[in-house]
Amino acid sequence: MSVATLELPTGPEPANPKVLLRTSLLGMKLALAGIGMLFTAFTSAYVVRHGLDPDWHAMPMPRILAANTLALLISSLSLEVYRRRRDGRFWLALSQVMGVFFVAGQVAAWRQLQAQGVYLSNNPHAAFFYVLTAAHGLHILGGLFALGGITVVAEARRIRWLEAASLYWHFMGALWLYLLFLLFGMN
Amino acid sequence: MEVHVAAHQHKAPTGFVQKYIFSMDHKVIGIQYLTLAMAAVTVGMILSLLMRLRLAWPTEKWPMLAHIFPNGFAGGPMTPEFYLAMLTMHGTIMVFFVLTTAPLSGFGNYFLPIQVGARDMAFPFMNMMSFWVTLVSFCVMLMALFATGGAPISGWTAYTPLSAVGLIGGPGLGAGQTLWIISIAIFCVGSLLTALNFLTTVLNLRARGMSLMRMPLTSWAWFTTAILALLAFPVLLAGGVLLLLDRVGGTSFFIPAGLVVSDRHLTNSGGSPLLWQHLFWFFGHPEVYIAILPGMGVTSHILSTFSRKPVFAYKAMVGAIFAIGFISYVVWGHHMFMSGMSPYTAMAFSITTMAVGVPSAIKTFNWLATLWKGQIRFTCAMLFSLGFVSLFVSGGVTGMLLAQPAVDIFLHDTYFVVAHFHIIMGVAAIFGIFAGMYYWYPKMFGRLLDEGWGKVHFWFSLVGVYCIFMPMHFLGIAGHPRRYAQLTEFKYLLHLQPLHVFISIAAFITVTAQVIFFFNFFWSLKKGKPAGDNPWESTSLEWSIPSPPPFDNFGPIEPIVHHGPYEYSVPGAARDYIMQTDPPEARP
Repeated sequence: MSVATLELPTGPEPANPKVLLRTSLLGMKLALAGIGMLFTAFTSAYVVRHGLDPDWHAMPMPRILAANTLALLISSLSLEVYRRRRDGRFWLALSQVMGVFFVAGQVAAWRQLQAQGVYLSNNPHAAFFYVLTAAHGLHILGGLFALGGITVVAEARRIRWLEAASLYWHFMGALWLYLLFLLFGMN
Repeated sequence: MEVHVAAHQHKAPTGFVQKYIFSMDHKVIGIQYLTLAMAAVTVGMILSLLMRLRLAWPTEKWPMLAHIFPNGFAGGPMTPEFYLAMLTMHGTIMVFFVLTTAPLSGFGNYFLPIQVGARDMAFPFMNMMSFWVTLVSFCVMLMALFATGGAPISGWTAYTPLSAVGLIGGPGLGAGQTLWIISIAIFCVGSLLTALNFLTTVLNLRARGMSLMRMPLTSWAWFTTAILALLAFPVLLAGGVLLLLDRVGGTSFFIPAGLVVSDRHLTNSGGSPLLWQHLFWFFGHPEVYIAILPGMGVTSHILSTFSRKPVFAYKAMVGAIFAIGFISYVVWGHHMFMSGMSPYTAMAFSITTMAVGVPSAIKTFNWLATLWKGQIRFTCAMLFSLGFVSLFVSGGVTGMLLAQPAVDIFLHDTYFVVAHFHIIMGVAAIFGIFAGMYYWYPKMFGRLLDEGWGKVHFWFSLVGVYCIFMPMHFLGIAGHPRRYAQLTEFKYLLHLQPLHVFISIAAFITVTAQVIFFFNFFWSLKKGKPAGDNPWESTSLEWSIPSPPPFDNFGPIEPIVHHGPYEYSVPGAARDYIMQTDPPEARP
């Protein structure tokens, strides 16, 4: 079959864009509830595993994470500026670039750890670091796809897309702050 | 009250592929899910028969089967490892690909949007993806059957550390177990997409006049089930990711220190096998209700329709569905009474578990009150619903026994538990599916299933499942452990062997009787009696449109709801049912 049949549904846009916007936002909120449960489960595993292991060696926070966090915050803020203005390519571009910077920074953090000999298998704290950053990173990649889509999707669905993507992106930012606290704030 | 007319987001497809294969129409997706479930249930039943052969005739060699499964029989009777592989795959396929797929994703997809007056799900593309993701998951699960070493042997619960240590733990724990985890992880994603769609559709796309308290109980059940799925499957996904890493990444999330497997000392340290049980059962118990709640919804709907009476205490029924859904999140520890948990913790889980009995009893008594003095029509759908009530009670009361830690510690690893969960979660849910099938088949395919053959199918099934599972209670009380292929070395169990033979014969007859259903299903597609729009004189929205429904369900007419879902035998009304879309004057 051709790729065309797998495209997102198109067709006559219904009369009530308000309903569509609300539907998109509700769907996104529910998706975030599901994602929240995923990380809640990881958290409970982290807490239990941490509590059980007498040999738990906490690793220090890779320094680059501070820069990554800043990038993600800037990304979230600039997306918010774009969302409120409904315009201003600069802010959207800034948000996207900072998002990419975050991903690159996370990969750099992994490489730093590997260079120090900290792997998935030899330190339970590091194992959680890898798992949580990977799970978060995959969601960030999905978010970058959504940010890229803002200017690409048809005019009629742009507002919905932007609103849902913003909600998602801010959630990912907040989730990252939470993960930082979980991994390094409680040691 | 804010309600909105559903808006169709996609045009009617024209090509075969878009119409029937990669379709975004919720009705086609519903049928795709039901077809998947029928394929899965066939596989699952065959696996259970293989197990029954081994249990009833432990020394028999079955040369024909040995020819098909050379590894599984290895020149003698079925190997214990092969038995465990069958056990694992039977449980997994039935729970995920039948009991989750058919009642929720199958019937729910087809009928939820119509019942609430929507033209499709909120996110049709996502809906299509959910099916294809689930199909991929099923294919990966089937691959596990043919992996090197065979299928995993760690049970549908994949208990750690056995499931985490890899091939040294036994055959099937290599590639087979890895494929199992990957399949389940994919399944989680598909189920989440389905749950998102159900919830958004109910909350945002109801037709004008369809207030929440005018929704049929079927829709309420699917809605609650979707909430359970949305919050439960991510937890299984998280557990699955960690388990996979223990297997392929060298981590020790679930593998404790000092573990010796097959004379090999593992270097892992610090993991907790019980952590897996907590994560698994935090998902696993809501999963039980994901399987059974849609059956409860269907039963309420059908009992009312064929008693020609409103559902007794509709609001209490809605409340009970929600209460069961909520409580299901705080009872998971009752699967772990044997794990050495603190008696205080066990007591807490015991109390919450017994609390499930309250909303369950509310539902049961309301069903009986719905039947009371009704003008009962014994259609096949009605018979299967009555069977559901019977099985729900039979399986439920043993749940109350098992909820008590002191009793559970004796019964937990015996056939008593096998009897309990098969009756309540397996067979009751299957009866809910059959009830739904006999009831909605005419709407889906425009023709009725043959009622005569349906009744034969019903009686064979009802008597059959009781013959299979009732004796297992006695096996359990007599102390017969579950999960083993053979226990003939134990003298205290020898006198129970005839019971195994009886159960196996009953199982063969019952499974054979299902051929009647399959035959009826395919025969009626072409030769069944034409159904018309509303053969059962029902009230909900799906019966106000043609059978089968057109692409956008309601055509040019915008459905407007004026009545509750169960207005049967209203005094003074022109006929003994008022459809939800009838004008307000229909109710005098």
